[in-house]
Amino acid sequence: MAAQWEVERVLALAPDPAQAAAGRALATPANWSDLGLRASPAALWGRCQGSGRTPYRTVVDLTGPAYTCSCPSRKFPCKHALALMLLWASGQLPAQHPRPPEFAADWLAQRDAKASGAAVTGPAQSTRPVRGEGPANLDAAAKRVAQRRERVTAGLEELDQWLCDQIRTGLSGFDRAGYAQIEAIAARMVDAQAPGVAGRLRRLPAVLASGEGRHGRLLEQFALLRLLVRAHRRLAELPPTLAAAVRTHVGYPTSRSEVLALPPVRDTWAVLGLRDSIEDRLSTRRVWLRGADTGRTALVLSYLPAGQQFDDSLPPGTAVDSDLHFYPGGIRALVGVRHADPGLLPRLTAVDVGQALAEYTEALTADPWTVSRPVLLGAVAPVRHRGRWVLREDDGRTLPLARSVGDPWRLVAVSGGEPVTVAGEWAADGFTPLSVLRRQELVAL
Amino acid sequence: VSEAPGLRRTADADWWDELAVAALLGTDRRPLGEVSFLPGELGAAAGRLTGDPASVLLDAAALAVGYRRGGTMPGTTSPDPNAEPGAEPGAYPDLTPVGRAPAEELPRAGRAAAARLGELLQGGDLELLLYWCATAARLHRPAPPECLPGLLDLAVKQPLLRPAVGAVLGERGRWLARQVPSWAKVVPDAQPRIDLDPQIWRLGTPTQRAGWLRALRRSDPAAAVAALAETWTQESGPHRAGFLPLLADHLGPADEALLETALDDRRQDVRRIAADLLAALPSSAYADRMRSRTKSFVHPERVRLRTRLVVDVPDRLDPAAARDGITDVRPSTRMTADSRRQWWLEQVVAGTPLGAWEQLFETPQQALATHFDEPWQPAIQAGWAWAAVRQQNQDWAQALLGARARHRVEELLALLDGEALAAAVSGRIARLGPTDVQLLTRYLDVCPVPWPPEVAADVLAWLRSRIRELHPRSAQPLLNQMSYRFPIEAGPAVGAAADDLPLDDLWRIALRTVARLISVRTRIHEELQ
Repeated sequence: MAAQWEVERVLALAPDPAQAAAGRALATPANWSDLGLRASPAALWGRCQGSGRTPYRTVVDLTGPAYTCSCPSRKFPCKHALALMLLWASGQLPAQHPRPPEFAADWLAQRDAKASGAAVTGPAQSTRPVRGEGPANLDAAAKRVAQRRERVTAGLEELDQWLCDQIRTGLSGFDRAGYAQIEAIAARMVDAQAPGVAGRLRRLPAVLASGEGRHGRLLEQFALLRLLVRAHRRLAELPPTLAAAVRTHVGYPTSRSEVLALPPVRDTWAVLGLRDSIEDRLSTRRVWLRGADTGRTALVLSYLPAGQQFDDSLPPGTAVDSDLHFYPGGIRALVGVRHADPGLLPRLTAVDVGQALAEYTEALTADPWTVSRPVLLGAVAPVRHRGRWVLREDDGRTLPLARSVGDPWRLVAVSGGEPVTVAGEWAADGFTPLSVLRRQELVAL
Repeated sequence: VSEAPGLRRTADADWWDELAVAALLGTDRRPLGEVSFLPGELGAAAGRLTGDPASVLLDAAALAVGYRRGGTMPGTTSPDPNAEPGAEPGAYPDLTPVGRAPAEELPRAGRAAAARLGELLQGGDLELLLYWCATAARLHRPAPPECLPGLLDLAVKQPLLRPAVGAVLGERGRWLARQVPSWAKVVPDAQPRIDLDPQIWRLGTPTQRAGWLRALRRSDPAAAVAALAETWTQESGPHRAGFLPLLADHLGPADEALLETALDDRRQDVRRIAADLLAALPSSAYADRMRSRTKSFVHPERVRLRTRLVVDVPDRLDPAAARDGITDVRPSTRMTADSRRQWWLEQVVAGTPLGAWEQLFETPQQALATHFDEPWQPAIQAGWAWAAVRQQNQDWAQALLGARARHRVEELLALLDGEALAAAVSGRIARLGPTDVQLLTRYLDVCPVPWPPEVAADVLAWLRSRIRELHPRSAQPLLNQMSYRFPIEAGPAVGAAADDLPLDDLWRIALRTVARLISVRTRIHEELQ
């Protein structure tokens, strides 16, 4: 049996606060019959008496978690699934039931088959949706995918033409006419179903306004767009990871369920950095993790409308024993099953300056559009040398800090002139420290 | 010896710039032509590109971006100058920080306390921040390093916070402050240790010289006054006025000679400072002169077997009195002939050692109970209060406060501590009416923080008995004082006082707020323990 969850963790699954409240209201055994649970793979079930004559039949597969319920709600999970999990979390379910009743058994059997199938056949074939769609639907889906591919291809060819035209006539003209042109071509990319490209284009005005050296930076962005166009032309020939990166940057959708269906990587994941930003009225939270055993780096992204509060399910400075499901070809991941509550940071292996740069080069090889990469840098001291802040190893090798960091006084204060372990992001324009490790304690910067 | 922390390969800027210029001008106007200017393998790969010139330029740039980003090499600095122990700022002008922070002897504030301080620094209540610092200093807990830059920035902006911040910096904070001139300036002991090299006194800037004199005064008071005496006649007027007050620290008989000289100074401010300092030296010739003046002004007379004190102030004073700093005009007042004589008496009494009155009275209390002829009584009382403050005489301060003194009450209170202070404040509180709330806050201002429990209890009792006659708004300064200075143990009593009031009473809300702030302070205290 999976360790019992905290009530908070169940409530965090609720799609909105109203649903959470409704779930709480139903979470008394009096509303339920045929309650039961199965140890492995962990699952819960029960019948809930609603307003109608027949009770709703609710089943939860905790490994996903995945839910099914006979109620008409389109909220997911519905209040019944939430209530069922809340009953479990508060220890109100009866002791183990030997066999699930019929209504739960069928669905669970389907789930189990799927799970073992995914594990055997691997990621390549597990992209089919988790929730049942018949063969007829699969055909329609394939058709939609082909259509989208065509649209994107046509759009990117147009973009290529546009990019070359700009280079032909010169970027000097761009200072004046650029903004209107960028918006027009970006809108075209949205129509062509390449939102990733549209996003890249919409960031160009910021480059245009970045002052001295902006034409060089503009050329960089144009070159990366051109690279994306060329890579997309040869998508079928590319190695799988690179192809996945291209698809991500173009903006092909990858559904959460697809990613969650990929085999998990279980580890004690240390939460080393957290950065919130607001762009286009959307708050983005980037949390990055490092596996204590695998040494793998992962980035968990979450989005919310600006102004709303993120939950604190991955508190920096803790470590979580959990499953991560990685998006194909990158470090982005989703959190799957959590096997324990957040605990103390484990001992982590850090890298030196040379290794950090080598890792970055490797990441660029896998995904040339990589901008920044999380790094856990061991034994460096922040030092300002000839007007530029660097992180310095005892042997004298240094890595510069990004100019946007400013004066890293908090880091200097924690270091006290001694080498420390720093977690941060390395990008071509320098290192951005996010936190510093003091013994087993993480200090956010 | 060392290279700049290089990001890119050598001369990388040149070839990238060449690509950028080509893109800026446009391939129609200036085709890219050969790409042989690109280095090594990059040039070879770019050389194989085909197509129209614009796309070749873009593809070459794409290769170059990967080459630049992926080919970043670590920078280097020469062997670590910081490894040298005791390196001081200035030794390596192009390097920050210099040296390593000395080990912290005291255990630092823990996580909860650190989180709380971080929150307060994010724009929290400054008074609570002060309380955090004061409590941490009392419990010998240096602030956590990650909060130090925030604390130092705040100390730069808020001069009032500087002593409190200075008390929790710890070794790490003082080390950090030394790295940034604007921080070092607000943390006196973060500045490099003051060098007692006599050259500084002879050749330094006025600020350096003042620092030198202040430091020497602390370690060797006699040497300091000797140094000042040596250069005294060559110092400019403003310097004489600037250096002389530094003798107030560790004032002693050895300073008398220079101060006597200063009584004849050309500058009035120097003369005034000298007289003020001499008045605090009971064994000086100045004190003797004042004592004999007092004797001539106030003398016992025997009338029918009873002795009474007669006050007799002359119409004119001799020039010697003026030399001793006795002035004709009380600052910012209009004087009449009578008020001038009263002012003389007050100054003479204030300059006379209080011990001189022992011949006439057994105790200060007896002196204060004595009746003098009008209009001399207030002048003598004011002189005694002034003398008690100057001579830091606790017995007289206590007696004056007990006798309902009206002069220099706050200064007298500041001389007392412990039970004497509590008794003096409590005695005063009881007599204050609802309109005296401002006066009360002034008295409470000199009380040590947190207030002694008796004072806190009296303040709360006073407030509860005046609630019907007082609006919370006019008592706001007092409520603020209570919030931040009440002993935390007395917090529940405030909460209970609030709960006794009707729900819609404004006072209930006001006292609840006070109780809430006290409970935050309680938590701060617990977190720091």
